[in-house]
Amino acid sequence: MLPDYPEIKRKLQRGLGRRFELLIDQKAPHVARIRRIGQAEGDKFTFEDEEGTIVEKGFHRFEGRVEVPIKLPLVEINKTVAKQIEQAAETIAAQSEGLLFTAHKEAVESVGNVFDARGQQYNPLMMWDMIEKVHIDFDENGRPEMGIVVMHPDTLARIRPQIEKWEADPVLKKRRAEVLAKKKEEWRDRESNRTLVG
Amino acid sequence: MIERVIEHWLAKVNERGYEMALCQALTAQGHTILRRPAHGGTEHGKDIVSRDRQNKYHCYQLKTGNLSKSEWRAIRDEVAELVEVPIQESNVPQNVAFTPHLVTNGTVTDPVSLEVKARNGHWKRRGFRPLDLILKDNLFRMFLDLQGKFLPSTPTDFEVFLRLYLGDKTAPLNRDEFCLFLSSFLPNKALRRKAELSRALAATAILSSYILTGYQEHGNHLAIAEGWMLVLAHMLRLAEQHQGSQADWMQSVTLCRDAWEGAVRSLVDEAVRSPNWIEGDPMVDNSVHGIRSVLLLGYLSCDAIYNRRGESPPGGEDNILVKVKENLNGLSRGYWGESASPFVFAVILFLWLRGDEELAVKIAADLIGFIARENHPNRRLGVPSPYYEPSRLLAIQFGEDFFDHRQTFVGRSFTMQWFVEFVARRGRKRLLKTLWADITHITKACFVPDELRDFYFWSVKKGTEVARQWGRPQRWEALVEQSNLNDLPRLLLVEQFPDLVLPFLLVYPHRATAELMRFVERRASQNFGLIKAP
Repeated sequence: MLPDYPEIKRKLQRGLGRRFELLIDQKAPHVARIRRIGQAEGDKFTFEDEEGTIVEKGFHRFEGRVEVPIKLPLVEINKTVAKQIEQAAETIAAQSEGLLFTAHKEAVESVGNVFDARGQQYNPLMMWDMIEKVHIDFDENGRPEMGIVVMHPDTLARIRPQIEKWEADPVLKKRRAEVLAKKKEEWRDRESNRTLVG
Repeated sequence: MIERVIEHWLAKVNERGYEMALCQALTAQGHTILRRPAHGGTEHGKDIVSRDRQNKYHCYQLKTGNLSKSEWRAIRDEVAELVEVPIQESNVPQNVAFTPHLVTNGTVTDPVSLEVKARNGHWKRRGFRPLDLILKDNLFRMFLDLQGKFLPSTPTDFEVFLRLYLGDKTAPLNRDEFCLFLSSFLPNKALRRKAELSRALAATAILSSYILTGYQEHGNHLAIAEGWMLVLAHMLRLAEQHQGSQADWMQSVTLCRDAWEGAVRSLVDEAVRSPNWIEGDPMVDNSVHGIRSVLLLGYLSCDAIYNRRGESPPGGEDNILVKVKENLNGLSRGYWGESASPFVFAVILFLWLRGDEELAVKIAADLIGFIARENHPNRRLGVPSPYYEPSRLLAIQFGEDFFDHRQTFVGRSFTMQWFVEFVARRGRKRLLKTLWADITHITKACFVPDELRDFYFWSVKKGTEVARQWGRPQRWEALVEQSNLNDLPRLLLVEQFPDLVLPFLLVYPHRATAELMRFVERRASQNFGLIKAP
């Protein structure tokens, strides 16, 4: 073999792996917001959801491909690899975001919590009808920890100019206050169950 | 290659170092070990007494290095006792004939050899059996032949073995790598021939001896204790498939247990003697002193609990209690993560068994509060899980390693449940009520291997990580009932070596479950006479 320095290169590989994960995060912004619980052994996990149902799951494999053309000069290799890493990160990001939405869809369907707009144009009241169906937690200052709304960019472009107007609309304001009050009440009920009784 | 290793090892080891390997080799040849140094000092020149398959008795006196005329003169009386004084063991018939063996990992010079020959003639005339010499070459052949196919087979496996053999013997044992080595040659399936089982187990112990005796030279008792516990566990994994032939595995396992006991005894003696638990350069000891304190507090408590298994409690327990109480502040200072929890459990259990329930409950409640606070979902990282050893966490703390990207431990705990149940068993409802809201944010986690016998593996491929929530609301009666449940895994460790469960969990913190901790407490309570054995 030609002279080499494997020790330092292993460290660089680990650094590269870390940067690769950051790149995936940039391309998968929703998944990037989720923290990671590492499982050190085994091939399955089970947990109890909010309703107390036991859910058993296995692991999904996400993969992207990076091919290193070793016959090219090093500068060319670096360029090609950089491009391929970008593509691989995109592939993995698409897979992980896809799984997130699939898992989310399965979860809401399994508990019958789907809100169907039945082809109607987006209307802000719909959002509050939708929020009314889900668990909302509140922080220590009593502020709601709202989820993330994901919508098609065309829909966003259409509604964006109207957001300010909706926020000032007294009917919508009233609806917002009603829903949040109800959610807070539900949250208080849930929190009050964090007790040892008997 | 293994020949070179055995040669090198034999050249540097003392009699205490090769005694275990010799006993294991005798076991593989069908001997029953009736006495060895672990059972008490040398008696009438006899370090080891054994009975072979033909019911013939053998006595061994062990020495280190070459024996020239001057060394021979120094031991001559002892050798005469070996040959002439009858075996005094209670389980041996009086005045039974036996073969005396003088063993050394060196050679004897010609004048010594001639004198032994002359004395043998004399002994024979007086009705004693002649002295047999087992020298370096005989030991070498004995160990090499026994090894047979039970060797690391691939170059990679051999590299792991060499790395462990040559590693820094003042550092902690790399448990992960040591298990990798043990798994590299121990059969995974049941052995077809019974004789192979005792041979496989003896070969395992001997190979492990090559690695672990290096730690003996430095007095690294913790590494030795952990090493023998890992060997014992891997033997039990194999024995689980041969439960019907207990005679073929029990002695090898017992020898490992004795070696573990010896190492823990040395560790405890040193810890009791040490005024401040400082080791090495005190100027840089501060960064690891807390961790060492937790380890020592755990082992001191564990040893005191373990030693109550006999009919009468041994002396020294009061000294241990004093030492534990003196150093209790080390628990919170050194708690590095959930792999430290079995050590804390050992301490609170010992304090409770010795009548200090208030202190035990306070420590348990403090730890519950700590884990609940640090692992609350609004925190970022949380308390590292039991899969993180202190050396890995130190490497992270000093920037030589890092957690995985976006890693978090919040929202769950593998160990908090043991302490909640400990407090519940003491009826401290009011105390738990004050902590309960925080506790409910933490789910109870544990790992369940698909194959029960994989429990002994360091890491398991097939299995399930289980996370469960506390009741919302949680009924006190249900909690107390759960805290007293008696549903145990059917494992040889639990059924045949119940007093080793706690020591096992100090080495394998990720295998500890609430069920096992309840069992540990029940067993200790029986040994301390607080409850009656079923």
